[in-house]
Amino acid sequence: MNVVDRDVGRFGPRLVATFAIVVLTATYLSVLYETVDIAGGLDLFVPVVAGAFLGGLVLGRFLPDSLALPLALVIAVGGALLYVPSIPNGELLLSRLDLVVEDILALLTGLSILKIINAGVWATAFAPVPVFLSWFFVGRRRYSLAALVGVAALVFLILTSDAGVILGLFGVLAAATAVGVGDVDLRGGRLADADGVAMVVAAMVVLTVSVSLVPGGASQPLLRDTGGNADTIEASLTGTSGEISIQGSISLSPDVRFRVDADEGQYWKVASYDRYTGDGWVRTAPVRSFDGTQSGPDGPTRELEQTVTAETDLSVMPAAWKATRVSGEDADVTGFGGIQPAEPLGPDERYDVVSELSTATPDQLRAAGDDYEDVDVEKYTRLPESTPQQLTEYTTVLTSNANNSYDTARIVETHLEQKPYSLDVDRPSGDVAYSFLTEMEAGYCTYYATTMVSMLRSQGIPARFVTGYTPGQEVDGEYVVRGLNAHAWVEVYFPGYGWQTFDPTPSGPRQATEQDSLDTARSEGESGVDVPGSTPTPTPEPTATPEPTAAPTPGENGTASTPSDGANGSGGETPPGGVGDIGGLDPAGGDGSVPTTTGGGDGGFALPSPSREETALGTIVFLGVAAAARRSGATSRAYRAVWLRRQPRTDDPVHDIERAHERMEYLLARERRPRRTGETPRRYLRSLGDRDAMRVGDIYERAVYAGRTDEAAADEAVDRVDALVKKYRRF
Amino acid sequence: MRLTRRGTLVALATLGAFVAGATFGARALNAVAAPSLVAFAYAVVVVWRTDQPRVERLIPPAGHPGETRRMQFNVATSGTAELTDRLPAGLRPRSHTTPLLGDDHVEYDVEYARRGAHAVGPLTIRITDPLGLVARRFRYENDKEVLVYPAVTAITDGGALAGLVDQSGMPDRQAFDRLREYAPGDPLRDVNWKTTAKYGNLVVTEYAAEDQGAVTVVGEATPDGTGDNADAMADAVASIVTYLLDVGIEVEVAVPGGELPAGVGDRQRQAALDLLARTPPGQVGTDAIANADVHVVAEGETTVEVRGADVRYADLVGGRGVTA
Repeated sequence: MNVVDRDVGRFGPRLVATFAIVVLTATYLSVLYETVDIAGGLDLFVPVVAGAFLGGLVLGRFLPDSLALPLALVIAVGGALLYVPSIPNGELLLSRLDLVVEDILALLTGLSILKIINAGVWATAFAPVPVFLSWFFVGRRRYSLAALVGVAALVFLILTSDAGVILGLFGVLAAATAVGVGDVDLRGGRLADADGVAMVVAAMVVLTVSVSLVPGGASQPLLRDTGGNADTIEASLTGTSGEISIQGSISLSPDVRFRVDADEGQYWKVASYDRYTGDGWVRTAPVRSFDGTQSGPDGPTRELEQTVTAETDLSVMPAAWKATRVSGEDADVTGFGGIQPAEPLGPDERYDVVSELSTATPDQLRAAGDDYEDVDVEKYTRLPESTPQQLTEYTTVLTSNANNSYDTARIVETHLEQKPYSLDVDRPSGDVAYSFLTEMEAGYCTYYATTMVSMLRSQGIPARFVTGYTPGQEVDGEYVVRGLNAHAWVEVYFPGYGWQTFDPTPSGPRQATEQDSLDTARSEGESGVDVPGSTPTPTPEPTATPEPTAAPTPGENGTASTPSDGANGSGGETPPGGVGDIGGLDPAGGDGSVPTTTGGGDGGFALPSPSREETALGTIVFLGVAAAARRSGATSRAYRAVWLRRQPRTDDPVHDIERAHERMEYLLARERRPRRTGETPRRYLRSLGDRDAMRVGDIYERAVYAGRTDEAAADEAVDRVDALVKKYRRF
Repeated sequence: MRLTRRGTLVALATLGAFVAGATFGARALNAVAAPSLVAFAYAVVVVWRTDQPRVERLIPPAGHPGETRRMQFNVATSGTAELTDRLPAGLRPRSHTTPLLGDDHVEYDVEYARRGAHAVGPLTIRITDPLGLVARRFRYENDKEVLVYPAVTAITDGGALAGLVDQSGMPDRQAFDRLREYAPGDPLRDVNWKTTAKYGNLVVTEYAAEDQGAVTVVGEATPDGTGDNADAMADAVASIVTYLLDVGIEVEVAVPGGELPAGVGDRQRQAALDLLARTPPGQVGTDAIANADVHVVAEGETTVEVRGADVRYADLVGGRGVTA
């Protein structure tokens, strides 16, 4: 064994344990990095984390354990001093501990850190604490404490639903490795002594992954799935999470959701979203209860009265923008002026809304200017820092002829409307907006709206993503709105006129798709698809509407697509925040869409073919199997088996003969009997009565003791031993 | 088989993951809960299948208080384990814990704090799984003991004992007494060849001191609950005996723990120290007191009575500390 081997043997456990902590740190840092990337502040985040890492590692080598927590506390206080002044009313937060506790509880029960105000600064304040602490402990070789800190940070991010299953699994595996191999290091062991750790970690991979792969199982099989995982558009619409992740292929639900009695059809808005994450949307506005009125948009407006009647359970409050008065049901209002029911509505419950619709003309909007002092322009023009630069360049070139925000928005809208419409798309892996603009051949409303917002924001125009329903089918002065009418569009801010609606989704193909979906449902006789009068007279097949009075039994048939599914699942009491997965919102009506592939959120272990993650997990399993084989002695047995059967020849006949003789002794000792002490080899071989063996014994004696031998003798010895092996061991 | 501290923490976290998942939504908690359960299942199987490790303890030799020796073990086990050895009050440290990895050799320093025959152990070996979640304890009772002799202090002022040295059983071959006829059993070296040659019969020389017999040292101590008196007595007796043996006197010892017949030399000193290491406080028989040349009594203060004359032990050792 040379020097290098010895060093690897001695420092191997330390290297592996340290590497494991690196992986663990990377898991939670990647989540925080993503947050900072989306919310801003990368310039500060990287040096802060690097400083915490180096500081922890270096100080850990010199300072005692007892200083770890005080130092971490100092860093935490420093972080708080960084974060608190950056938020409005930050001082209030310091004096109201109950508010802090409330916020922490909200985070621990699933509030994404993306919804925190100034999430980037928050992540920059949070990250150095676990990084410093765990690397301080690594410096002290307290691997289990380092792993504890890392896992705690990771679990926190899992609880806030920001860290996915794969990330969590890698973190936990790394922590287990650090603890187990760290123990070996502390006991002065070698890497080979950590075989038990390799085995248990491999078992974790195999069992965790295979349990999750049970057909039809939810993505998180061991825990009851109580929400968040809306798999239909409808469920996502009624979700309460205040965030949306863009999905792949979806389908449409034809079930009737609600009816609107109004003089004109409008886009029935449900929620708006400000923070774009690159693969979804988050609303960062707080929700408070609605006192009955709020001001309408700036500029010229007109009133629209609407009476909305729920046809199924409904946890959203669709209304034309902007609702100023609500009666009939208790409502909440978001910081963006959107309304939500305080309690989910049941079938036939109704509410009256008066909306103020902006009547600004294009010319007025063209002249609105760009004095955005009444709006949080930073919030509504922020894009993830990882957004490809080409998106900005593309938009700049595209809109070079426009000299005002309105024209820019119209150009982008018109440009996107050229894009083919399809519900059947694969979710792109990178930035959704840029992918839709360049790679994707088609998409649905979510993609159009996301892309338009991104493009406008790249030009410094405040824009946000909006979900809701298209007007629906007009029946006797009422608008019947189905799940397939769910839609996503864009609002752009104009000083003096407020938020104005734009819809980059081509309406023709969208409506055609919706109609197809509805016709199919009718022809298959689904109930809940129509209300009295909504069935067109020339029904393709008479059996299409078996129950003309479908209204009394809504949702009974629409299996996955009734809104109640989503609402009940995640606790219907929570205020309907916003549209759940955006994927759900199809262009015109895509409500009932069932994503056929979960694009890759925290969906679970449906690993895409040979991904990096899969390779890493495969390597872990391989190491575990190798360790198990080694421990059980399988490797040495395998080596013996090969050694016995294959003798490589050398130039030295004496060496060959010795080796052949060795093989023969090994074989005979196992298959016949071992040579007794005091028994001469010659007598031993004779007693076995095997001619081949005796002949090899003769050759061996002559070669070794008399020194007389040649290649021919060596050939003969090897051949005869081969024959012996064949005779005794055939398998 | 029980959970370690680490295991308890992981178990609580796993339970928390289930509760949090059931209450507020699964999120990615499976990534925490499932591997933890696997780790526990693996741990239980591994620990349950482990055989009792074999341990061999190498007892360090006897010594005096203040000395440091090495306690050693050879352990045959597999995987990660922890050895904990407990020591009685007379030895320091009171317990020692060492992590083990597979077959291992463990040694640690033991300081001999107090006179006595100290039964060491019990020894426990705690086997854990590779991640240290579940542990199983094996206990080894031990019948071996570590012997700590009394503290022997050099007697600087031997004046009080001078009479003993002069008169007692030192075979002073200069002190001629008389000649007599040879009797079977007389040592040949005592034969006076000159006279024998003259008279024709074997004549032996008899020396003056030879018949004086051994010095008997008796020790007594009042029981005081702490054993301090017994220690003081043992220290004093050991110091006096060592002194007398060093000058070549034949010594006999009687203490509450037993009696040692007369003898000389290193072997006698060893035997005396063994006896004194174990002796409890108490009285000796009246016969022994009657025969005593030196009578040590420890009852708070240690006094030494040499042939009827009282001496403070502290004076004998030149005022140096009499260890309790």
